[in-house]
Amino acid sequence: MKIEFRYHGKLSEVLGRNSEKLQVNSQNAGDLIRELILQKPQLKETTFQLAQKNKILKSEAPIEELDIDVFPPFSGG
Amino acid sequence: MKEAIQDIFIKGAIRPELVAKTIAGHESKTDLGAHDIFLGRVRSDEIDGKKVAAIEFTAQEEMANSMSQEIQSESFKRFDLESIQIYHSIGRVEAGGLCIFVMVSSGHRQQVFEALPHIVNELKARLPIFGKEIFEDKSHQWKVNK
Repeated sequence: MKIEFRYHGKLSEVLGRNSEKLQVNSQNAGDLIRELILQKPQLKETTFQLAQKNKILKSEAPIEELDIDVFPPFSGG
Repeated sequence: MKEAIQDIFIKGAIRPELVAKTIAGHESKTDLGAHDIFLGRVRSDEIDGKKVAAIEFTAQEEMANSMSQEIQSESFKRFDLESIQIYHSIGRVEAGGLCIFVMVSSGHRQQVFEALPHIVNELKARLPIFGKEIFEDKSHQWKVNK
């Protein structure tokens, strides 16, 4: 499936873009993180987590959306 | 009555007038005995000899608003509060400017004293907001919350 990844904060700078569509096969968030790092090795040195439908995904959570947010650590306030 | 804020984001710095207006907006609620307020500011930190001139905030706004709502609902269950007001800046805020404003209101002081730090800490930990510290020489680094 083709998923649109939206990169936030520092990650948009590390990857040089705010979003992109990538072909992936993972069924859950943990696998998707590993697959994303394989496609985007720049992410290897960063800390990030995934969210779909405005919820942070635990590693066993199934991927149900075609839009995924990729977040570095939060730094509001 | 419990209140909920739909959109917490304010473009640029939060003006002190908003704080005054928010307090004034509660004057008719005569059962309230206490407000407690947290105001977070952009600090002019010096890092490796360079001074922070401003912070530029970006966010996944839809999720931040929904998460803020969730934190409010949890806090209404946990503390005996009548009202929670939350505002956060989006975009550029110069050093010295206010970037987060949280006000909690209750019948008595004990509840607001307990609720406020809890809510501010939850907001900082759970809202997908990202700060970019811009130095006076226009270079930048990404803010890390301690």
